[in-house]
Amino acid sequence: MNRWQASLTNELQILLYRRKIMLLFLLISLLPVVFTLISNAIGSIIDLHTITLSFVMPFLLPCYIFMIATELFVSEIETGTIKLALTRPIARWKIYTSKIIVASIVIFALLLTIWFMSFLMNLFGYNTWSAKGLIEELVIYVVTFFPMFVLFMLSVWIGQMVHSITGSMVISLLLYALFKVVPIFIPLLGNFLFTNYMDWYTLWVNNPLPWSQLFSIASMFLASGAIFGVVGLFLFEQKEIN
Amino acid sequence: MGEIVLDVQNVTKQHKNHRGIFHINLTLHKGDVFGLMGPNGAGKSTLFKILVGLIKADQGKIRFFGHSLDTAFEQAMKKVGCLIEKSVAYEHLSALQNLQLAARFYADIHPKDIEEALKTVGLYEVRKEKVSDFSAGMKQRIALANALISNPVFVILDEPITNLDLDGMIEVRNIIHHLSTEKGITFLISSHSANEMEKICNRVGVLFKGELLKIGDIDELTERQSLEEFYLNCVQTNGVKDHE
Repeated sequence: MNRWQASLTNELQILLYRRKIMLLFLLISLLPVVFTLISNAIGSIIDLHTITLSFVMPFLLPCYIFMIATELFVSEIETGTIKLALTRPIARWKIYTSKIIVASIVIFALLLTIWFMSFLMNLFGYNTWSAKGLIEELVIYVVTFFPMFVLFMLSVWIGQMVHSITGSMVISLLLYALFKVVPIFIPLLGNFLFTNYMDWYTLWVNNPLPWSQLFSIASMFLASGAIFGVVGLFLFEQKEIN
Repeated sequence: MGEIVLDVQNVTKQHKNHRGIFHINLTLHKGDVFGLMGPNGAGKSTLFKILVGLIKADQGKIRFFGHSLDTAFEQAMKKVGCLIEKSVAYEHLSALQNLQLAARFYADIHPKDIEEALKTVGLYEVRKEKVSDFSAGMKQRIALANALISNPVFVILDEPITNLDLDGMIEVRNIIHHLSTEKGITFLISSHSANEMEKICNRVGVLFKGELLKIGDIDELTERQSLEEFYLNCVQTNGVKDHE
């Protein structure tokens, strides 16, 4: 096992053994079940994917993502456990990238789990499913990963400048709220904020697909993610651990 | 003299409060057990953190086994084990899991090496217990095991006997003695206890207000006085000079 792989394995193990990370993963995954039970109780049929995504996407998933970013970076620096990796024969950029990959795996796995739970609930709760619908829904969850990844990178960047766990969480949440609120008052500014396109998955169910719009949004995600990632890496490389 | 293990040349680091370390030069050879003494705030931890790459020096060069820490970090740290200041471990993991994490960074560490390290520090029986349930002394032992897990050739120990009871201190002393004499491992150790240093080290240096005042062989230094007396003389003389 080379050191970069070792770092990946370690980060995954450290994260998966965190009780609050796994508990929240489980709770978010079970939302489709909760929504199905509620809809059965009130006796109305709901579009499970739409309601789940509209509930998870704007608030729950960002909070979970900020928690992972804080856990992987700020918490490790605050408790000093980051020293256990930094004093090993491994370059800092490898540690940084392995943390990002591990977080991506967890976020992607969560989205896929929600998709799968929704599928199961549709199958057993409403007895409605089709192969075409299943693929379309899978695409929705897969493309949702990209804005969530950029949000994670933003939180990682913030984590390099903030020294406390609470501070990192609060600033990430405030900045996210600000990014969501500003376009309401200044619509033009919204064009330059990636958070304005968090629900781009709605474009992926159009027929035909609006390719040029999708391309420009994807470019914005790529550019924002790259900027946050590179600045975050620079700050992580320079960071002094006391 | 054996192979040069550590070569520190003109290393300076000034903190925002103007404290730090200034123009440090230090060379350690294979088999040395070097003790660094100094009062709180003298710069011992700053020097140790620079040596393991946790903070960057403003100037100067550091080489481990001829490899520069700046340009070949992975090569330089390959044979180095360290325990820096506070003993840290992942509290939500067991002692065994903590060592498994560390061992993954090294190609030639096998499960039996991990078991051996746990036995060496006396934690084998509690290896499956979470570190959060450990006492301060046990946490210090797991930190020591973490430093030794890589089968290092050079070990940096910052205050290794902090939090340890008398039995623990004797055990650590015996471990260091065994590893240096039997395996030829080089040690750089800081401690507040001159008595411990006298028992463990063959060379010592006194760091005061960021400057390395004196370096010498322990046998020569303790010919006419105890190490404690030597240290106090050294610090008081320079403290008086500084005051004047």
